[in-house]
Amino acid sequence: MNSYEVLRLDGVRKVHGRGAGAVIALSGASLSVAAGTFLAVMGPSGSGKSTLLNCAAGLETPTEGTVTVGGTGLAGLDDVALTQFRRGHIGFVFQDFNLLPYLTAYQNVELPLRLGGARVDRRRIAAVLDRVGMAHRLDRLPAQLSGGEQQRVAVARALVTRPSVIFADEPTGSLDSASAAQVLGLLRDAVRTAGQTVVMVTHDPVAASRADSVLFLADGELVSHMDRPDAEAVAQQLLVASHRTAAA
Amino acid sequence: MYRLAVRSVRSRLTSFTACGLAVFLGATLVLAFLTLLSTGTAPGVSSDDRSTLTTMAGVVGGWGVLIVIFAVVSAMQLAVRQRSEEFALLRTIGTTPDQVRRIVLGEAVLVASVASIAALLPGWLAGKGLLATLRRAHLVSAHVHHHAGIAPMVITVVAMLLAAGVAARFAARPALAGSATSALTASRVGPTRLSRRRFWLGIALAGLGLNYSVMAMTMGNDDGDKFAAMSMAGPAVVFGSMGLAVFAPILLRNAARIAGPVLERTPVGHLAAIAIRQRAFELSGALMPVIVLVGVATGTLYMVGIDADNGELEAHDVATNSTELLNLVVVGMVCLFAAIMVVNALAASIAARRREFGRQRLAGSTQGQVTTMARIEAALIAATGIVAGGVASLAGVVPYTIVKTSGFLPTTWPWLFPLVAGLATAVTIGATTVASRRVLRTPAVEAAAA
Repeated sequence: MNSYEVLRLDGVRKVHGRGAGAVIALSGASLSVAAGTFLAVMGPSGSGKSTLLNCAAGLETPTEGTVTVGGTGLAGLDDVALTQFRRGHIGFVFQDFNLLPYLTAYQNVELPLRLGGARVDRRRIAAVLDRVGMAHRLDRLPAQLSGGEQQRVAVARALVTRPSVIFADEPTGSLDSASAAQVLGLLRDAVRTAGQTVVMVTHDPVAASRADSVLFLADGELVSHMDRPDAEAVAQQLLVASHRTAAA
Repeated sequence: MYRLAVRSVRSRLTSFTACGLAVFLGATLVLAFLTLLSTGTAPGVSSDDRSTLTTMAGVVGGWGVLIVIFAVVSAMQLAVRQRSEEFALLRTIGTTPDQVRRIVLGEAVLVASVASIAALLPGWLAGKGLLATLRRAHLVSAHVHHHAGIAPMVITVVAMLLAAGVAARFAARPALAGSATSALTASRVGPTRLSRRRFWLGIALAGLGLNYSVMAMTMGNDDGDKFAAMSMAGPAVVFGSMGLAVFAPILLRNAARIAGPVLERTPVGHLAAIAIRQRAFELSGALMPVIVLVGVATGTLYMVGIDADNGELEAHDVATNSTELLNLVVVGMVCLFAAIMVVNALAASIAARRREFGRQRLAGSTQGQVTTMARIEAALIAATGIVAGGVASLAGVVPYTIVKTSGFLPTTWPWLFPLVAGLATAVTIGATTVASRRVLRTPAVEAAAA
């Protein structure tokens, strides 16, 4: 496993609104993620998990601080450049799948490559869909698939560009436990066998325990860190973070 | 969460506003002509004036009403269809189909009554204005006073409520058929083929159009009534356009198939081609008014043009010239209404795609790529509408030309069809661009979750 850094956040602050009504979503988060690792970010709701993820992925612009993905600083990129960068270097898995409703499973996976103007190799798409166990459902529309199946297609879409980092925002939040386990297994596999890097936001200690390490967030601040987590310890730590929020 | 709720209401507001606008402008148009009718039938009006006013209200107002009803029905369809997933969801949590039907109907009646009542004053004023124009053109005597009783207003409001209610009821059908979960899947996939009912409706409308065509050709040369040809060729165009508009999804899908090889050359074109084929039914809500606009504008304006040409050959009397001017004004009003309906439908259909656009951006589309895709769709909608509308206009133009001149196709105003086509294209693509840019202002993550 190599250990070069694919994601780096330095003092990332995000404030929504201005003046008296301003809400600090993230107050100066710094972190570094090595290639080929699986990181989970946990915290009670409102702790800034999603903001952290959105800033790291270039979906939101930080108020302060810098984000570097695969050696490229995101600051100063305009919307077009940022989109093109995301397309090539960042994969996404969202809680509610975000597949395009009028595209089949195959077409959804192919989309990021198509949009980038790349010549699309049918075998490559088929291989990725095979990896997530969806080779038999290539021509189905999202509405004709179960939630678990849709999320597996979404994972395939995130994998197809071989991105520097895959961001997953509550990827199991809308799934039953069996499908959730399957999707987590796929993410885990992508890290172990393909050397991908995954950053996952979750509130589920069981999901977090599948990661290599867990970061805990409370009130927009990174408060603790745990390596080789197990579900029980994660749940314990989460409780501590929640109390901290409640006390604040 | 609050912002999300506001967004959801706002995106729905667009489709409600679109319906309301269709009803409002439609009611204004209908009421204006109805007041002419009641003015003409009021006591103390000379028989000449009476016949001018009732003919005008009957001939032009008659097919104007058809277009208005069509516009209201299609706006309502668009609004209800966009929410079929929501209605299916309501069913999965225990709402009975009957309750859903009542919700849909209630909303339709609410929107239609507010909009049609708001249109009473403008409609009354428009009628007064039309009458003043008639008086100034000496088509009716100066003693005729605008007489609008309560009847035209009641008829207008009732007609709008009926049109909106019936349209909403039919539009909600797919979300109410079958089990709650199958309706949910169906509402997400969308219809893929014309229902039998819709197919026969289209055939019936097109058949009516042809029937009027034949009537215009055989009976349009009645010397006693100079409006005879127009009173049949007009409906021929309107019914013909509406008949083709019913088949809009099929037309659009085939257009996408034909344009496929060209579109597939670019990544965005490829995406657009797939999207149009897959969602022909949703997008056809925007195509239908384009077909009617092109068909009616081309058809009726050529009739006015042929009359103008004939008028020049005959005597240059004041009455003929002012009749033409008036024809142009009235036809222009109806065409303008049809054009506004095109913008209306496009704005509503794009606003409903906020979430889809958000997802597309999250999947790696730049904002430019999203706009380009919407423009490609709009261009295809315009092209399909121009071809279909052009064909539909022949239903009135050919008989009218045969009756009034020696040829089959009008030789006057050769620039008219290209002009109509150009304007329709500009309106379609322009409205799409503006609406897309507005939708794209929402950040992608927020839009995708809306």
